[in-house]
Amino acid sequence: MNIRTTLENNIVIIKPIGEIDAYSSIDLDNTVSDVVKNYEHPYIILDGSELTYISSAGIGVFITHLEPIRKKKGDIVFANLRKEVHYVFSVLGLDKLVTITENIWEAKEKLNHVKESI
Amino acid sequence: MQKKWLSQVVLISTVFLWVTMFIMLERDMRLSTVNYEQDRYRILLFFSLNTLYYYLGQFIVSAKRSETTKQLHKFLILGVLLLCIHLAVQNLPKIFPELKIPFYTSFAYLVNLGILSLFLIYGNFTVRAFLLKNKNSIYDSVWKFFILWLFLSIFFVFVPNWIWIQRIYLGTGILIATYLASMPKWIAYLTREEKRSAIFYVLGVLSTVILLWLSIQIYPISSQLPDIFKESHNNVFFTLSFYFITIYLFVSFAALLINLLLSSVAEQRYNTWSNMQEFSYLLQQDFNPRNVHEKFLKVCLEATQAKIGWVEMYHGAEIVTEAMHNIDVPTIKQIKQLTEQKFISLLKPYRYIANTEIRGFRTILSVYITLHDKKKIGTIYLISPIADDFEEDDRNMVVMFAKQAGIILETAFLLQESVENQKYQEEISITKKVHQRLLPKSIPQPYPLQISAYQKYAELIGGDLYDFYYDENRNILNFCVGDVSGKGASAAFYMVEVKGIYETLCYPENPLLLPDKMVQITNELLTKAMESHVFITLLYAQFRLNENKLYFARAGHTTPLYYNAKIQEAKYLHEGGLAIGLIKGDLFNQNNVLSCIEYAKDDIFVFYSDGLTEAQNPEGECYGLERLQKVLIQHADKDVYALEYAILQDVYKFKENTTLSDDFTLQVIKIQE
Repeated sequence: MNIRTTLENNIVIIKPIGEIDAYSSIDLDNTVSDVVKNYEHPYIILDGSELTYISSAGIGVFITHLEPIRKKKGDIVFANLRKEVHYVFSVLGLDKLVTITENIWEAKEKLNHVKESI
Repeated sequence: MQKKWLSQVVLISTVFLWVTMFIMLERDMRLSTVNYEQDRYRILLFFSLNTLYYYLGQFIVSAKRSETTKQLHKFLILGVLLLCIHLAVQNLPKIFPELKIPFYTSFAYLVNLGILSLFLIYGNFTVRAFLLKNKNSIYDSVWKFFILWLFLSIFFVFVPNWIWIQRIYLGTGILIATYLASMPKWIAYLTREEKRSAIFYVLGVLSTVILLWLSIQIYPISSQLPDIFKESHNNVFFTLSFYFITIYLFVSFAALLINLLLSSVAEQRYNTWSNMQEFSYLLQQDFNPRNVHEKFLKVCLEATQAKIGWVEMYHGAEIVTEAMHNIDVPTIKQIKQLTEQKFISLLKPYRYIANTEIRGFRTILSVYITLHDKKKIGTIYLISPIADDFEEDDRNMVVMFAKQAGIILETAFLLQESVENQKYQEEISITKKVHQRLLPKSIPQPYPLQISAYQKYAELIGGDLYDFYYDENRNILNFCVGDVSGKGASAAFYMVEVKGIYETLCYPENPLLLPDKMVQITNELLTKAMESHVFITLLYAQFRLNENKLYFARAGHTTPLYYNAKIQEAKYLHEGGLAIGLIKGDLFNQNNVLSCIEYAKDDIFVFYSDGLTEAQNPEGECYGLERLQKVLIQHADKDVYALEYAILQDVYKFKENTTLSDDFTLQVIKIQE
């Protein structure tokens, strides 16, 4: 798995390419940790357009960081999730916990709302 | 034993011969016999030399390496002692004129002769011990021939008049001796310290031999003494022995001197090699890569005579300085920044800057440490304050060492990995045992339910669990399936907790709870103690057999498949809430829903874990929900066991020979007539 990160307008877009299994979830964890650590208000979009599979360890990464992100008045939005990954999120009930959007543009909108509400 | 006996006889006869010679000589001198029998003395001298030769020969056998200097030491002490005795005996008559009597003169004469014999024969054998270090067949034969030559020279005692033959014989002997002396190989076996003491001993012995020889030569011999002894000083045996010892010692001295002067270079190379050897040996006792780094740096510093150096290793994207010499981390950073652009590789296996123009750090040599697959795992930097200080040879040597270090580190990693793997295997076997105990031993079959349960473990055990509790009084079957995220021992630990909680919740003496309440309690109890990255998916089901109703609450677990026999349709029951451990309190409870199905005859429920639907075929495709649905509809008329078999067949046919990455469980429940 590769992770591509871009910064747009104070929003970090993390784009994992390939599968997030138990092993590659460590890289993902490092990436997310860095963002959470380095930003006053971490705004993250996870671009799932090229994420083909996510293991429970990968999901564990997001739920670990969810609380710290929100404590810092930031948020994480999942965008462009593929059908299989979206299914995993919904079975677990994660869709009730985090925002999942159709595309990046929508995700940015959501985050801008969060920003304004501070 | 026999040898000891023989040597004593030889010693006694030697002493006897010398005493006889003394008695005869003293009498002859006292009586001033003119026509004494010279042949008597010749025979006596011949035999005495022979016995002495034999007697001394047995003491000096081939010297061990550690004893070479010791033997030289002994030889020197003996020489000095004999020289002192000789000088004392010589000069006593000058102090005490009354000693100028035939008794003393003949005594002194014989003592000198004895000293010379003893010293030369002893010297001969000492040198022989050194010579035998040369393991060369030609050399060996020459040596044997020389011994014979030397021994035969004793016979010249009988023919004092063959002057020319004696000279030719002597000349030939000296030529052979020179050849033998030309190869003082024993020196090569000595260490630097031993060479230093050896050169002192050799010089001492050499001067003692020459002094003794000259002193005896110039000593004025009384005209009264028989001719034989006058000649015997100069006889071939003594002369040849003297020359042999002198030449050998002189050549050895010269060789030692040259060796010592040149050895600083050789010694450095030698040190490098021995370090290298030690470096390889290190691995056998120490798996700690840190020690390998330290040693590697040390070896390279010594080989190149570099003053500064460090070793850095790559840990992922991070570069860690593992060993340093005469430098600190900020300086390293600075130097690397200043020189990064200047490295010229020129297709060489190293990078080199001949002059950095930074004071104190003129020459930089950098070599990658690589694994056998050419993967770079680290770099060594060596720095000299003098510009262009590292020879081509030195640079290549560092490259060689770096290769060696790569091999050693790779082996160290593999060893570490195998040790960890072993631990891991142990963990797996323990987890398997725990897991086995967690699963129900028998499955209740309360009418009208027919239940089958199947589990398949992957190599690395996941956290799949299921359990049944049948409450006879209430005629209620409680059933749960779940999956703990993560694998191995930590997953098993959470499984134990879930099982404990569920068992308590279902306990028949406790008030009857609906599955959604049970899920809520479980979440409250577990979320407190769980690690942040762990979550548990659960499905609690409750068959109320008297009411023909199934109540269930799904907390993030896979959606159960329900086959309605009346309309012959199979559908996934999607309703449900969040997985356990994601969040606690209101948000969880709001989403936690209770579902209810009123079942009828021939209806089927299929519960499974994600390991089943995510089983992959060789193309990486997942088995998925639709295939499961299809196979259920196809085999809906069969009993649970045949149905289970059909599903498994389908899954295994699909995944072909792909190994399971996760374990999976499958429970099929059918309503009988």
